[in-house]
Amino acid sequence: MSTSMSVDIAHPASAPAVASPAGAGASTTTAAGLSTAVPRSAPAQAFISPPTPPLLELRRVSRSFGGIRAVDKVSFSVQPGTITGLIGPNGAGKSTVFNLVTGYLRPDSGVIRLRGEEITHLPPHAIVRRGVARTFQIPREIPSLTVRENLMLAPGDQAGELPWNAWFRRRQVQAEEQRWADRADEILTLLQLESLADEYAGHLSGGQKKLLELGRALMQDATLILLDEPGAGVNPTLMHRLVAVLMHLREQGRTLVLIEHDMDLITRLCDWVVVMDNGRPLTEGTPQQVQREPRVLEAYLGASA
Amino acid sequence: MGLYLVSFLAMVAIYGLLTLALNVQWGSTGLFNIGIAAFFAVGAYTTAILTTPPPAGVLLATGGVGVGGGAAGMGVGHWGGLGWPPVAGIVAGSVAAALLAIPVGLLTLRLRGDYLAIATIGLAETLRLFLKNQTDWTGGANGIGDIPQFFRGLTASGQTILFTLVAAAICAVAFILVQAATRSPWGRVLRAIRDDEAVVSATGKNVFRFRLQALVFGASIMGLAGALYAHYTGFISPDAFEPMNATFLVWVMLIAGGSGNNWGALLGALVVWGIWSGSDLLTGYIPAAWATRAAALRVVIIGVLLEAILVWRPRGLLGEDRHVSMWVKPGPASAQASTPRTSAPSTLER
Repeated sequence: MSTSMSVDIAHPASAPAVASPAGAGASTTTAAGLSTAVPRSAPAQAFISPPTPPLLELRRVSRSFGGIRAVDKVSFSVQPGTITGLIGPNGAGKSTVFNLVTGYLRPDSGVIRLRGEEITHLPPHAIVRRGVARTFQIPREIPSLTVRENLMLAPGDQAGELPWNAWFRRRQVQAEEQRWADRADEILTLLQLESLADEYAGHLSGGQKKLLELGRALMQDATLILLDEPGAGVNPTLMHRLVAVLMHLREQGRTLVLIEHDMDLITRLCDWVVVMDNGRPLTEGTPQQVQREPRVLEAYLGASA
Repeated sequence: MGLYLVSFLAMVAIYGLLTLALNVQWGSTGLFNIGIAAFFAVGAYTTAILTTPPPAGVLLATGGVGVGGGAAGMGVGHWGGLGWPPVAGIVAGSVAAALLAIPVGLLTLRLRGDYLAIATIGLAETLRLFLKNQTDWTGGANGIGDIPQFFRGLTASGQTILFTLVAAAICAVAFILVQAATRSPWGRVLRAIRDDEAVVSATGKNVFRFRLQALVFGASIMGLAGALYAHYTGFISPDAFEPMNATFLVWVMLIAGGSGNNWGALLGALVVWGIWSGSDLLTGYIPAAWATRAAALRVVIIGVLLEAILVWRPRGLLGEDRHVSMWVKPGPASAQASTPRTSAPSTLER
């Protein structure tokens, strides 16, 4: 049964092979290979965009809190199979965009589409069920569940989530539980959290909770994965692992959007970058194009220097 | 004394059901229900109305309509008197309590936790006053008597013994059902909702639906307990559904036993009912002038007990198990996890 699952979901057992376990030196060559691969993916994108609609599309989406326009007429689209970076200074509205896309906040105006279908006013669980996974910027674990069961919570449509199945279809529930426990253990091994599987998730460190967030997204069979600063608080050694995991997800045809402040990470990973400032979209392009934009340097890089 | 012990255990079984039900709602899901009395009372009154014998003289009239009672001639009566068998009454009592929980849940579960508390205590008190004042439906303060016992043609002690066995069996079945449901993926979702519902939404689960399921499932067990109580005492009145006996005592039982642990819920019912009824027994031996004060002292004892537990043993006698699913084997994640696990726990308890 675990083999059938690996078809559907990123199989983390093969991800270390991508990372090439030789060590950090090997990982950096992979990363270098990726940044040269960016032009390669750009024509592919141009080829895809006319016939297939974007996986995710935002059109003039706005949201205010009181007098503050947190997100102001933001439009961009995400092509399937790409990694899109969402960058901008603190308070630019990046996390708010994530909350709007996943239904945690409702936009005041504008339209959000997933595979051409409008999802603007759907509740979060309905959007997630359409194949979207997300992580939170500040990790939100379930403190009184073990690390393993935090991951086992994530998959959708578990038979045992109905009491009558827990009573009358125990065999099926048991089989699924074993399957998801094995799957969770694979992901925990990948994220180097395996020794903490039975620990309360509330006892993890900040960086470990951040990895648990990613692990939860990996447990879901999502086509679109929104990652809010996945690398924050993660130590440099694990960072290589993280990069490898994200690249592997793209190789599997999954689409990623990530919010990140680490420009090096953005350059290594992203095919496309959307820059926001003060709630408004500033510019978008390949990482190289964006980094040359004077406005970006002024608003973002200049501000941080 | 032997018979006292048997009847003591009957009440432990009834309170055990209430505590198990509260454990589904509060211990597992974090639903702050302080209106247990409402669901308890609905179960009791439902079976009382359905199973009491038809009032004398209107035997023919009561047939299917259900509204008859002795109200016409006798001053005090109540609805029903349909003469249903007690088993049907108990099932109906459980269903009625569950049906009451649905609108309560629909109205309040979307709001923050405190609103459920306000709504449920308001519901319980409103219902109790309604039962007291709507005299021609419920018998008012005089209550409803003549609620049939389970078995006919037995001595009083035989009745008590058999009832206790039945109540214990029902409690055991309820325990197995609650345990199987809460130590499964369903229970895992409930515990996650208790901690952080935003995470549960992020995994594509409809938080509201799970909360409603927990509220209704718990309420149905509370109604079951109420119906059993009615058949046990043979007489119910609004006084039996005061917040002290029917709500707060259950809370103390759950917190003492161990919120989140179904064994703890039963243990808490046993221990706290032992203290509660034992202190009642003791008041029989003190002078009458002191007896009324002793009744108040009993409440103080329970209150102090609750405080002591919260300070020294906040997790209760039996704390919550760290693992929810009975199907998951603890142990560090194995790197070769892709090989399917062959042995798995087959019993209910790990």
